[in-house]
Amino acid sequence: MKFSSSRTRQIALAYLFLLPAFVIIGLFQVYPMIQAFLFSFTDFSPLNPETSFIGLANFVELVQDPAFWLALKNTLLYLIVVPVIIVLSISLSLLVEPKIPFINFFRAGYYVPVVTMMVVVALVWKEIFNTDYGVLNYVLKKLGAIEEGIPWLTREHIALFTIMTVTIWKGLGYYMVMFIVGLRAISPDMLEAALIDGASRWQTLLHVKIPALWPTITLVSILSSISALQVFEEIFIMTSGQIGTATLVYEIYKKGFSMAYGGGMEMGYACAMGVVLFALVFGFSFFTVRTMGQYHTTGEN
Amino acid sequence: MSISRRRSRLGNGFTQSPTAWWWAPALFLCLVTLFSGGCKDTSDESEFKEITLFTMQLRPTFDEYFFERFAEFERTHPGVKIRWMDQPYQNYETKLITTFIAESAPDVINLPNESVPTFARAQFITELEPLLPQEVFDSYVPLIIQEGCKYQGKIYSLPWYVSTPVTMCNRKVFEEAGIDFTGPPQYNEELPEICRQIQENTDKFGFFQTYAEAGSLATMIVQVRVPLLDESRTRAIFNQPRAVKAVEFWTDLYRQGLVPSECLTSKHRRPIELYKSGRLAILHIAPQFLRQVKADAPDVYRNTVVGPQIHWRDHAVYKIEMHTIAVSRQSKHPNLAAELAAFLTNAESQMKFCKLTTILPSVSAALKDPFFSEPDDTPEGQARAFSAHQVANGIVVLPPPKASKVYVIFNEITTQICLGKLSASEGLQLAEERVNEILLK
Repeated sequence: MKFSSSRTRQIALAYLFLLPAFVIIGLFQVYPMIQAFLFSFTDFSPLNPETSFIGLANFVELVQDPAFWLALKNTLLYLIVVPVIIVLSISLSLLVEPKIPFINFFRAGYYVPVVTMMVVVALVWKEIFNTDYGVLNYVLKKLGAIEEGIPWLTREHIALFTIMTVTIWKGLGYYMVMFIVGLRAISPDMLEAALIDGASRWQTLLHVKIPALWPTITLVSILSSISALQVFEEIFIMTSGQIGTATLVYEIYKKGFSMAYGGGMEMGYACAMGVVLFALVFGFSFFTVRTMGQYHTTGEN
Repeated sequence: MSISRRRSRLGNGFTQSPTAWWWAPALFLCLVTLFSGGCKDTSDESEFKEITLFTMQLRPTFDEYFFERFAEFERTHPGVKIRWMDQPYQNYETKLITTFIAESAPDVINLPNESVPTFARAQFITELEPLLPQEVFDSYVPLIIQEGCKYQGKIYSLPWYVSTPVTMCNRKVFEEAGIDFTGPPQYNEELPEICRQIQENTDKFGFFQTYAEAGSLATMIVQVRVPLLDESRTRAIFNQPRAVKAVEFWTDLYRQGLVPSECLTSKHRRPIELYKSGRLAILHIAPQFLRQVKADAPDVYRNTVVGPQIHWRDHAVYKIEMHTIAVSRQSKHPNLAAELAAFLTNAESQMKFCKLTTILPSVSAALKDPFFSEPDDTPEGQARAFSAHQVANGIVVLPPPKASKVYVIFNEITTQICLGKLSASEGLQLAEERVNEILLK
């Protein structure tokens, strides 16, 4: 097959326009990723005058490090937010999708947390969840639901779940918008056909809307699970990774970048953790696309 | 159909147009220019020798003082220009390290003394003895320069301002709790009862003990005169009955709910916030923070009474917190940089600085000034006098080797003890074993 010269020129020009993007992505994303992978086999630290190749020693140390296993467990546990966020944002999108007066007010209201900085959100929620002075415990006490303040952020097994609620609250509006777009894309003919067939609202939802929303659900699953696996700001602000709430990204920060614990800055070790996180995110996204994408095809059939 | 044809023609026309081929490289060049804009070549030999100074959280409060000092230095060193960069406390060292990696490090660096061994080991800062005459080193308080500025027996920084914590009490909270306030408590042993009374009678707290800070456990231990390591600094020896008792005391405050629940997750900024909001009765803090209380919470400041640092009945040990000034190894003018470091830390400069805020000088001559021993009636004057008096009994705590790993263990163990998963004696035994494992590796 032979391309005409104008076609070749068109392709060449397209690549020329892509060049700045290639250079920037290559320089600031691909190159650091490769570098991080290589660093994971060294004892690199800005505080080490010399860097040496140490093979798999960082990974061996990782396997023996209880802090890493705890962080990995917490990171995987954090994936609980994914199904919750999907169910809640679909419900919310169904509520705000109809065109009724003032509905834009509610849509904007649910979207406000998305455009608020996570640092601000986490600081405000940290105050709300404060055991001794927090509004939440105050209200619960006034209602007579509790006698002693619940240690929302200062007890193991509670703190991580408390932080998850903030992640869910903040992300809900974003995914809600995606589902509204998905709902708008459903052909009115299909909904009308379901109505003529005598389907109830529940049956319409289960057998028409949800299958039609499946590509959006797949996308939201991937995006929200990547975000969940990379959670950092909430943990950093609300508990400083204390009382067993550290996640992988928090541990990477602590080991590689923080001087707060006596100046470790063990970048080689942090890079090894980064490689594990990369494998986790990649594996999870691949798994989601394979399983959910397949399901989607079956649904279409 | 016609629309798509028109689009296609437009597309082809565009690619065939000679100007189109210039667009992409032009855009790319624009981007490159934008990115390279910040990279100014500083290697030019200009008529001035520029010395850069990097300090922690001093601007704009002390602009006037520093610019006056710079003018004085520049007057006595013709052809020298000082460029001052100031960074906030948060991630200060990390930012500094970034400048070293980028090989654009400042010449003169303000370093907290805990960071001196780290920076010296990394070969970021230079040994000062070859650069300055001996009388400069002799002018500082011996304990401060010997303990806080050395790495492997060599002096790597000059002592600057120092402080020891004092106690600030909000008299109003004591009175609300029905406590007859005659002055700040003196001994740690008094704290549980005060906390209990304040908590029972008000919606406030008596005291805030930080457990989440890297050095919290180490401070609890050294304050009862138990060393963390043996003299060779290769073996942990802190699991001793006195240390166990002290750790038990502090963690019991948490277990009994006498301090805020968030003590486990919050760091040293939080008690300052709580004190300023009037929700905390006693604040244990470096005296320079009094300035912040005065500016941010005038009502609380009016009710604040200052006292010496609360200590144990039989162990009055005060931890000296100090800032130092070091010279970068990357400096092109190390002699000038060392001279500036010596100038900023000499008796005259330190004395002038100390008169602006509640800090203490590290120069022996300046510390003898009546300004520090004869307090006026203001809380600042009293804080200054208490702090100066405490320096005589002070200790400089050096971070242990492999501090990043040791502090992580300390932090985990403190949390476990606070949550009741380990007793203080089990915790210290475990901590000692784990620290020794790390030190032996």
